[in-house]
Amino acid sequence: MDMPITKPSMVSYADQLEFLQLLEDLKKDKKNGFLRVTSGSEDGYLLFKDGKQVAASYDNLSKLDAIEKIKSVMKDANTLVEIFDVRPTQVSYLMDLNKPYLLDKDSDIDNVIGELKKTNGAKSAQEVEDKPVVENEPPVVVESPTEEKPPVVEPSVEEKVPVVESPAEEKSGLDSAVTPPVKKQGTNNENTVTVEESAVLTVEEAAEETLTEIKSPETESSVIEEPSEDSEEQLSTETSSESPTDNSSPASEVDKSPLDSPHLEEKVSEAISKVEEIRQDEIETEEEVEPAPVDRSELLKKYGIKDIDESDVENLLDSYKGGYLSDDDVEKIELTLMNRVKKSVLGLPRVRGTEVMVFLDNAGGDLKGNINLIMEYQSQGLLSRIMGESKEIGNLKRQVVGITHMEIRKIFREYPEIVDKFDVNVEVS
Amino acid sequence: MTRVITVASGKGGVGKTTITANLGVALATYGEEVIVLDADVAMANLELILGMEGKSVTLHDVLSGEASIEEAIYEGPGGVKIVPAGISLEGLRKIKLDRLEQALEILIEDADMLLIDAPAGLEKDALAAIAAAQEMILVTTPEVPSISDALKTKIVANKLGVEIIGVVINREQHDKTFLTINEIETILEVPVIAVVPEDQEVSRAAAFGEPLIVKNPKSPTSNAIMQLGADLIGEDYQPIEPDKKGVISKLVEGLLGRRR
Repeated sequence: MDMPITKPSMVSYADQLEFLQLLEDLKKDKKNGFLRVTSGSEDGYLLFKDGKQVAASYDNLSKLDAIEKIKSVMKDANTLVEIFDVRPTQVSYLMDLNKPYLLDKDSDIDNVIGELKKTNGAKSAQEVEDKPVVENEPPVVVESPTEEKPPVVEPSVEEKVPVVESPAEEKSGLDSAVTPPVKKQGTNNENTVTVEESAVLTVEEAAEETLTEIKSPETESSVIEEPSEDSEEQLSTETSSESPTDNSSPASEVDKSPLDSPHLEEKVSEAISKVEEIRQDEIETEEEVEPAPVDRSELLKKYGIKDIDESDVENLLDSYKGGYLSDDDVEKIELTLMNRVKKSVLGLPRVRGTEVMVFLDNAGGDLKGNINLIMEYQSQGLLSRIMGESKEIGNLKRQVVGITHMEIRKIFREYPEIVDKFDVNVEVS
Repeated sequence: MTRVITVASGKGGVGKTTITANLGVALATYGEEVIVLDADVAMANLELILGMEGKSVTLHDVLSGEASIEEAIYEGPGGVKIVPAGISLEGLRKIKLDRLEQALEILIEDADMLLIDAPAGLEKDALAAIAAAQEMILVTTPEVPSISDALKTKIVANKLGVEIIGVVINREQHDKTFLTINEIETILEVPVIAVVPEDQEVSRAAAFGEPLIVKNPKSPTSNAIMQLGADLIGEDYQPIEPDKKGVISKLVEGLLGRRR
């Protein structure tokens, strides 16, 4: 499945957690997200919506196949389990994107927890009934990995099986991929396995083993270890005594042919190749159905990437400009500063009037300024002028400079140090 | 005319400095006069990758007004010229990025190509490094956060009028959990100009303080960067095949050859 891989909210190895418990927790928490299991170079996904699993995939497998595979790899201590959180809206989108992997809501198989519980315990009779092909098989056969194949595939395979229904293939030394499952069936012969059933499984398993490589080496070896020659003989005897039920099927043609027919092998090969085609078609169909998002907006949505707004960039670049001022800004500052200083100075006692001139220099982005004040001061009598006016005027000048600096600081609140770059001159007349 | 190319990424830790350092050396081996400037004044690593740490005068000193840019230029591997940023944090407060522009004006006088290793993110120092260049190479890994940040950087660069040459996908692992080349091109709307595979040799080379294309020119990463360098200046490059024969087989072959 196509999933947006970001930072997982949980990472663990299979042997460090109870998978069942984890799934139950996710259900309880109404989790929106997906679980990824990684075993070797393969990985599988379970997508959750409000705690309910809605899609499953494992490598090339989907739905129940995938769930079974995930279940089996969870037995491996080295399997890595990760949980990724996504937004509910993203889950809907991911479901849309991964339609071929969506679990059937009406089926029991959409409940992974239930499925795992069933598998962990003894197989219930009801579960056996759910499987159309293995329905008539003895319980021992049901426990074999083949019963875990999805029902979707089995009917199509079953249609092809009569070609190899004849037990001749089992004795004619066909390729080993075909024989082992038959031997396994033979071991269960005492449970009245019909030849047709065994042949169905034989072809299915053979096709899957050779073509889709679903089976693990462990399964294959266990199957090979089991065969019993006696049971094989019993099987062939039983087979020869049994007649096919449907004469119109191609199976009847094969049954009529001699056991050592030279064409049998070819027919088996044909059957296998047909099964292969069916499987390939299914896989290809799934791949074709799976949308390949090439549209940019879809990709952004898929990976949860937010496209950048032009205004955000403008704001960012504006903030980058920092202390830089445009010419218009400089003029505004000059005017504001002039008015403020003038107002403050005129509030001083005995100041009749004042002219304030502000000159700012922003060359090279290094703002500095010059402020000139010409004040008209209400003079006192001759004596007082002689006695101490010069001292009073000196104080007044210092006072005006202080007021001006204060106004500068008020204007450049975030950059008060700029006051050092201002030269203030006061003239009193 | 000197080409000024900034190597930027958005996200940190994507291998930007490694790409810049090796690309600089690669271009120098093609005969270009290349200066690599480490503009990451807060997290300077270029000098570590090139084994040039501990230089007395660095970009720090230049931006602090305590040295001229000419004093901060050093000869690096393969003839590439390096301006290290200086690892000390002491001078950071005194730095004035406005001085970077003046420094660059001097640097481009004697170079065919000026590579700027930009800081990660979109802070003032990163923007200054991006704005200073005419062209930009975006470096990203094929992961979502990295692509997301690269997208921001790309848009800012576009706003600043910087031409984006393309994207270098670093640490490619052929893992289907990551974004594909097509997806990255579609999202960023910029062509992928190089794909550099995940390579343990990069870390080893950094540990030795040697650029990878000098230490291990046959590695896939070296080949990818040499090819990128060649593409930038319109040169042809024949990738160097790694030795497939082991040391022992070479020895045996040599001994047999002598006997003949």
